[in-house]
Amino acid sequence: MKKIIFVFMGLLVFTGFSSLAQAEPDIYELTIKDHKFTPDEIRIPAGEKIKLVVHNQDATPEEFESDDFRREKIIPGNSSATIFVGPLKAGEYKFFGEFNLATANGVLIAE
Amino acid sequence: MFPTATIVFREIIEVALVIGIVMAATRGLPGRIHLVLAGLGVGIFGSAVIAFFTDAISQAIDGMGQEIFNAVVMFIAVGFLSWTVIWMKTHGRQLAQNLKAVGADVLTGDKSVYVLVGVVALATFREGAEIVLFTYGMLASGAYGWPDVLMGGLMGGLGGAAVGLALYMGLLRAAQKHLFTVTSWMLIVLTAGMAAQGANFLIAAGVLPTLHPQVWDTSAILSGGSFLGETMKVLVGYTPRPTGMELVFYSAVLLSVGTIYKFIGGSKKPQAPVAAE
Repeated sequence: MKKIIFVFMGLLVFTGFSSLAQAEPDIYELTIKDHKFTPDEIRIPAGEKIKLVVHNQDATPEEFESDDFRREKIIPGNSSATIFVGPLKAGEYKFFGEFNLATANGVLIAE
Repeated sequence: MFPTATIVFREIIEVALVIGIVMAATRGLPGRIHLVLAGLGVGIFGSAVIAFFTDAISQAIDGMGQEIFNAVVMFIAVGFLSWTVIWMKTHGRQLAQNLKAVGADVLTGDKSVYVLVGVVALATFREGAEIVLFTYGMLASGAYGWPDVLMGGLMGGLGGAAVGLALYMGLLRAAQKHLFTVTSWMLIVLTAGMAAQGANFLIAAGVLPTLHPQVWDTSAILSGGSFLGETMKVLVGYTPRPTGMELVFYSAVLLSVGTIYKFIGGSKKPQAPVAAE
């Protein structure tokens, strides 16, 4: 038990340090309108954690999802959501709006 | 009709697979169907409540409410599932030997079985809320009418249920002799996967670091979004690009629950009078 607590404390301290060490992540913005993403392609630096702010301008909720960089978040109608992404290796990562798979598609490129 | 069927199916296979294994694992436990149905009922009701409060949940905790909520649901499910596995091991033999007589005693005397309700309800919450929100969006936007949505939902629901049933029947047939052992280990692996998913939600919330952004990449072999990928995600916690932190959580649960399961005073040895409470 002691060991577990010890590891957990270590983890907390580590978490604290890593968030101190990192500068506030850069913000990238996306808009959903008529169940489409604008822009539908975002370029971010590889190896850096970023903040993705998604504005849903439709009246209906959308689920922002990516199997590639593994995020899922419901964004209610006419509201915005912040999603932490990365750090990611260089490459192309697809994302989509799960509630509108036919139209809501985009790609995030880490380079 | 078809988008509804697809999405309902996609969301429901997770619940269906969990129920499929749980049903196989608890074979011989009287009243388990009622417990699972109660769990589904609580889960569906909870889904509607969660869907209704999505706005509030989203805005909570600096906009990270959803991630934290999902992580908490995951970790409670991890606790419940671990408990189920260990409980089944300590009661497995009684159940297998003398189903009716002992079973009834076990049920009335031990409240632990209600954990099953929790397991099923928790598996239903998240995905259920998504189905509610999606359906609401479809209807509110006027893209699809009630008949389309209902038909699509029914098709997706039946498809998902069929997958769960196939797993259940397959397990009963393939693992007849060692059903308890096989299903218990399946539940342990599934639980480890849930812990990793919980860790991923905490990473998404900015609470935990990744430790390593991507330990390996098997997305070219099996994509996480494919049917098989999603199925494996539920069953063994498959993810094509795991972070270091997820692997830590995965191994921690696999090792700890696996060890307890392996060495706990199980069904083989006769119980000492003192230990029998």
